[in-house]
Amino acid sequence: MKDRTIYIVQFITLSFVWILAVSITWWFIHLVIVASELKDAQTASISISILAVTIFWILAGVLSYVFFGLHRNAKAGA
Amino acid sequence: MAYQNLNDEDEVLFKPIYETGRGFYVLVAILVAIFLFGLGCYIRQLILGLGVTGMDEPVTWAFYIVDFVFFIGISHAGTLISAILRLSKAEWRRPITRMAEVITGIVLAIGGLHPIIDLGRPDRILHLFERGRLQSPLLWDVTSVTAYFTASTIYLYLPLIPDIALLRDRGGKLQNFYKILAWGYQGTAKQKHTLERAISILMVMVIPIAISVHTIIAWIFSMTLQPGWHSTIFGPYFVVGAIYSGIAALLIVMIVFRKAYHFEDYLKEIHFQYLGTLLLIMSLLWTYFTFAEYLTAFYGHEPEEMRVFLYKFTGGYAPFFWLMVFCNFLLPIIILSNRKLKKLPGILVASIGVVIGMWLERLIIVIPTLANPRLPYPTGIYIPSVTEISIFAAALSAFALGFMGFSKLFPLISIWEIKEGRLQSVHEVSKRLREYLPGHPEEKQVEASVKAEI
Amino acid sequence: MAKYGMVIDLNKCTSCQACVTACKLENNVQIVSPDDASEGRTMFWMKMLTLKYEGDYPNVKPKAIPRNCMQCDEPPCIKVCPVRATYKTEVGIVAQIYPQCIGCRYCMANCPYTVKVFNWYKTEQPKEVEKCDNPDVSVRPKGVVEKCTFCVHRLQIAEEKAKAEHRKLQEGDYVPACVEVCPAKAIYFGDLDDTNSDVSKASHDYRAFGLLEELGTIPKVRYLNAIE
Repeated sequence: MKDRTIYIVQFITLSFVWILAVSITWWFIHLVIVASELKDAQTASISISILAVTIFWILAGVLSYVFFGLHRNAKAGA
Repeated sequence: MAYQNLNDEDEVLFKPIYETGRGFYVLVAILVAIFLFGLGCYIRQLILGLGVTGMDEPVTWAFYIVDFVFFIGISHAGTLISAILRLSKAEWRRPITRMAEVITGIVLAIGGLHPIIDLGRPDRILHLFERGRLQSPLLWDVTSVTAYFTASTIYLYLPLIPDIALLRDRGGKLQNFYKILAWGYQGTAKQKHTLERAISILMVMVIPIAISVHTIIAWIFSMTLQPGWHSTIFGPYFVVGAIYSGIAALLIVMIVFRKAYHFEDYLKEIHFQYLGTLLLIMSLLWTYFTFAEYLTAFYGHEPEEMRVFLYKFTGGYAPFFWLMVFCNFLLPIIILSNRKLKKLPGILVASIGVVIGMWLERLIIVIPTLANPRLPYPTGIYIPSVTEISIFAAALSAFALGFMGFSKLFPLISIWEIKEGRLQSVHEVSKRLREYLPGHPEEKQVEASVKAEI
Repeated sequence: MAKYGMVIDLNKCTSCQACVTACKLENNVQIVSPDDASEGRTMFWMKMLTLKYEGDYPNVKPKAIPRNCMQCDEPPCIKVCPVRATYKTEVGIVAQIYPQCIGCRYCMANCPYTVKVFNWYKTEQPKEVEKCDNPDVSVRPKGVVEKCTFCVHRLQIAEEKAKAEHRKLQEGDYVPACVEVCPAKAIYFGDLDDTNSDVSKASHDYRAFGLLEELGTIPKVRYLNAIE
């Protein structure tokens, strides 16, 4: 396989973790709205959401940091 | 793929990836058969309904929930132990961390499926997304297990990258696969720095996530009003139990693969000794928690609590309870505190005992409470059906298959960390050791003073 | 808004189980096979619960009470439901939404009264009772949790009837099947907030108690203690 194709495939796999992070954020926003509709415990819902969403964003961030860090610091031409 | 010996120092670690014996295939065939049987049972349950299980009223949660708690508990082997060992710079961790992390990944996937197996209407699982209520502990659980699974997979993957790069450089049929996964890693100083930084961020993050996962599983029970469940120490109690069973599972896996793949030179007696000591400590801690939990229930002597308590101590579940005490307390303590018995076979026996004991512990927590409701309903004894047992067997074989599959794609012992240990750590550790000692830590000064005295 | 409640007078109750039978037929509660029943999967929304046996053989006096859903004001089952398949209606009835339930059985695990029942198999009534099915109540699919609803379908019918007749809902317009059928008239039913109603008066009787009241569930089904 060409290096270009490999890079694209890698990029797509990396984008999955971002899709996960974004969809979880979206889901939690939805759940908080549901919680307010159902008059559930608001503070609990919001604090759980904030915690969970942060974790997923940090995870996605760390993975992207590694991905770009590795590619930037590769030996030229290798 | 033909196996070429490249005369690497750590060639034996590459060997399982390129060479597969006949026994492996036979074992895979057996495990696949068990797995397929379990799958068949599950499909039957889907068609007929949960009536095919042995569950009844009032024991409405049984084997599946027990297995769920058990498997998620085992998953603490990995990431948590590996993170703690990495964080505390324990040098003996190097050949252990990878296996621990693999256990976590596989077991979490299996354990996470169990609540879905337990659902009466798995076809409506999307209702959780559509109309989930964040105030229900089940939603906390979905969240924390997903977070833990993602975090521990990433935590498995990142330290794997340098090894994938090694495999990529060897070429072969799967080269493209490794090329994609290696993310262009070439081992330059900057790349290594990036990777190490990411790993250290993750290992700090993974510890609270891991603890939260099992705490929340405990909360599923302790948030209810039921006698025997509604207890404040359940969170830490479950976490301790989880780490305990995790270490035991890790030891079993290490001993098995050491034998199967000839890792004797990497997993030495000393590794088992250290992990064995850790197991002993966890055993004592677990016993302490169990004692505290039951003593308060007994001393308070509330009638409802006492019914559950007596059901465990002298009633229908007494055989399981006392077997648990034997497996989790007597057996490991006798074996692990005796220098003569604390050898590989002894440690294996203790670990198997602990895994069985911890499974029984989950059983003893889940079922007696449900079997003794507050109002005086007639109570029977819960007997699992073939479906439940074969799904449990299928889950165990799925774990074995997953682990074996992993061992055929990636090295089970972190090669780069071993190499790093050999090249750098000896120097680093001796330097660190000097820093621990009183006086001036400077090497030259010490040497100079010694010379001057002479 | 009304707050419906029930008071069962144990002094009048003869343990004849007419309420149990009426409830089964009214709500199409599945009659399970003997095999399933012996495995502990009987389905009752209203059940006779033997609290204790008094005296020695042969002069045993069982002390039994009819037990349906307590329709708690602070229901532990609602708190834990992950998908809102159970909720409290405006009139205080703890209702189940069968098409929403995912069958996790958390509500069953958290009910201190163990009143919820689960559909282990697809509902199949014996041939003999097929014609007795009540068309007003849906038959539950397999894999969902169900329980006493205070015959909420009767409330809907009564409300519509009152609306058609241009009047307000009156006491006695809406009563569950168990209340209607009780030959000893041991069960009072009605609006607890209406201080003039029989049920409200009975619930403030000195004999009144609630099952496991100490848990703070505030049951809206209360009992009047039997005078020995």
